[in-house]
Amino acid sequence: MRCPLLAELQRAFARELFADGARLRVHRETTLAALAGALEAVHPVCLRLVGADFFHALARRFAREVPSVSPDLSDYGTGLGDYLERFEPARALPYLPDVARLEWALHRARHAADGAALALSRVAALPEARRGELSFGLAPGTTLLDSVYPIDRIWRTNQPDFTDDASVCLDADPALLVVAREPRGACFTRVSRAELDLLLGFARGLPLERASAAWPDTAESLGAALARAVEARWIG
Amino acid sequence: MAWSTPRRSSPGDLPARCGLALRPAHYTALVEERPEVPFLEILAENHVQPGDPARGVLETLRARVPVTLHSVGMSLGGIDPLDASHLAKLRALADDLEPALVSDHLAWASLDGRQLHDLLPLPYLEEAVTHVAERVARAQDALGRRIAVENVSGYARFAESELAEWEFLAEVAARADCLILLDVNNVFVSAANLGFSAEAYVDSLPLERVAQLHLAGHEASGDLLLDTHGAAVPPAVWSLFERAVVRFGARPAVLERDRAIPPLGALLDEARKADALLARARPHAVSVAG
Repeated sequence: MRCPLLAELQRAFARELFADGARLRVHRETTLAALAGALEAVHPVCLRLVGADFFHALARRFAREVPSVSPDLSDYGTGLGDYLERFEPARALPYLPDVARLEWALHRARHAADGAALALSRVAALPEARRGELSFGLAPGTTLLDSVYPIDRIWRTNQPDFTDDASVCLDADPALLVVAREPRGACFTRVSRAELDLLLGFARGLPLERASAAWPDTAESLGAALARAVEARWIG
Repeated sequence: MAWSTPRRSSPGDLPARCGLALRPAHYTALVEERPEVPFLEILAENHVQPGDPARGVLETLRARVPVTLHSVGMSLGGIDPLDASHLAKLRALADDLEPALVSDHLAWASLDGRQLHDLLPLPYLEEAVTHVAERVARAQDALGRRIAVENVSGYARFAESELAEWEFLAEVAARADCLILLDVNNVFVSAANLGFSAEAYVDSLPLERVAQLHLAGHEASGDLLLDTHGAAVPPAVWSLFERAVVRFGARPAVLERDRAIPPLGALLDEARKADALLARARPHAVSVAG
């Protein structure tokens, strides 16, 4: 670094930016408003669940504590779900962290590259004895969620155009979801425990044989599950 | 300065008229009503995601009108290493959209890996001239294009500054061999907040480097003017714009609006007012180096 004074002055500026002095208030507000605004745009259901004022305060606290590391604001907000687990004021809504994870996963799916269509013929072309060696990865923008709460129903009942019965039973209705950029757009789908475990195995890099080792059903239903995952572009 | 591919589009491809900064609020009106717009300025960081939901809109509009690409994320004045991955994304976007001009700001936006999403002021030091000019030159190489560097709005100054902002900007542009995007609203806001002469600023920049002008409105808050892009262009900024047009000749201009965004028709009316001033100006007295 050949600019010692420039570096020193920028570091001093940044320290003052996050202190609460009046001099750099305009810059502090710009930074916090940009980050908080990004969180609000990605999490409309969480915002609706806790109210705009609560979410705004949450978002500004998150923005102060969690640095942004990408010049692209749409990359900001990963980890809000984890943050909410530790966020005392939201303790009364135990499902909120998972709703935030669902909204973040949808956001990633909306902005991910289109996954290339996986040719099932590739599978069919292999001798049956070798199919177990096949590996699949999750497609860009695919997230697997395992929630003890019905976060899919909470999400749906909190859409602006939802008019049906909005009651949600929080007990005994866990949501195992695949969130993905499907050909029809970014969306989520409920899957069985076996399907989720299969996809988790793929995500860990396991070949088909090992990822499906605990598959409880017939070979046909494993084939059907694979076909569904390929068709919906969950895997690539 | 050499870049690796010939530019397929250049500032000379833009009409010397007032284009609009493209915002999502106007996507539908622009695509469906097809109003006459001289060109559009695209905010680069909104469109660098691989699955950018607005890509279809951009491609539709790009097929009809020239575009420019405006970045806020290169941190040209920063001390962190230039973000090669971000520059590669900007390059890919530029190669797709073939903008007539790519620009970013005379500012820093990140420090020690932390992105601040603001255009932060530089101390105008002699040592910083070389530093910023080298970064601009490296950014130009990475993008394969000459870029324009824009003056930002100022709210705080460094007592350590050794040069006036316009001297610093002109010196960086000369050493990096880049262009200048002169935002007359930012000059007005900074002059009011920091106590310098807006007219001296406009009168001092090198004629051959100012490739484009920016126009916007601002709002007052306490003792400060805030560059909110949240109001119509006020008379004092129109006067400064007119002064710039007289001095630099007819150059492409962009009207920016980010808050209290009016219907497209109202913005186009405001842009036509700028067009009228540009139409009265002499043509480029000095051609902008390509």
